[in-house]
Amino acid sequence: MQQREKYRLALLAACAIAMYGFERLIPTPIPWLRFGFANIITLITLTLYGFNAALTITLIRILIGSMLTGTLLGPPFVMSLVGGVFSVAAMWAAFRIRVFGPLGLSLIGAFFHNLGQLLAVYAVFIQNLRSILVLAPVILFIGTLTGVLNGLAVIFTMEHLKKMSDNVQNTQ
Amino acid sequence: MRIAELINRTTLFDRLLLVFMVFVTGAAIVLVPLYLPHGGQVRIEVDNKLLYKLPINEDKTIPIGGLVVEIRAGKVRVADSDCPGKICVKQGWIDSGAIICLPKRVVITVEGTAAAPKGVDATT
Repeated sequence: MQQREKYRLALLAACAIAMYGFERLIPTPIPWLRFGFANIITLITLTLYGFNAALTITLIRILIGSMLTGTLLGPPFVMSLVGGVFSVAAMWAAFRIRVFGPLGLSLIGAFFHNLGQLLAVYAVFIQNLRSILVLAPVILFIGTLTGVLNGLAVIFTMEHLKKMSDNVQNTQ
Repeated sequence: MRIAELINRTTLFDRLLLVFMVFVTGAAIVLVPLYLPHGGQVRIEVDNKLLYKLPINEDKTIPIGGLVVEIRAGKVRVADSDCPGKICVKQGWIDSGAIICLPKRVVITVEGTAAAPKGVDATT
């Protein structure tokens, strides 16, 4: 791996961890409501640098994020890990078929993140399908809402990045 | 960025997917509560094993591990827990559905005594 690439991944991972830390400070009315702002960074990385880069920064974010919040190897860690891998894989697959923009990819990412988490809960902790399905409406609602918010954030960020790189090229 | 520009940044499939997700979410929000039994019995499971089955209209406080489950006035809640997240405590009182505490592997579900779900029948 090029030195440059390493720095870039480290910077993106740091951004994702910062987003993760920031969203934990926002009080939410429903305990399961997480905005998943880190997915903004994941999605941008996926679009610009591909699957390996996105998976790497997701794994770094989950590992370091859980160390910072003290949940390493606990249930939230396992849920994040499975959810994170699911979401990156699904977004990559959707990105490859080239019909979705950031909004669609973000919705898919949010949905598969939740799906992965529920599967992890079912497989590792609680084999009670009905009590998990009880949560389905809440989870779908949150997933759609945060998917749209993060998708719009990615559109704005990409637009801004494009303008900045245009400016750099013009001044050179 | 203007709204029109923003809409230009989304593809047709983005919009279709959004409509689909909104529809599915709406359907789930309307339909799932209809099939959830209200009142009746409180089941408390630990590690996938049924530990208690209690009538919801009998007031009672049960300590399980580090959890305190309280049944009062036809509702159930986790009054206290020694876990770090306390998601189960924050969920508050419920009279249908479930409270799940992952660290303790405790699942509290409310079951109806009648087999048929409320609010739906063959004629409607």
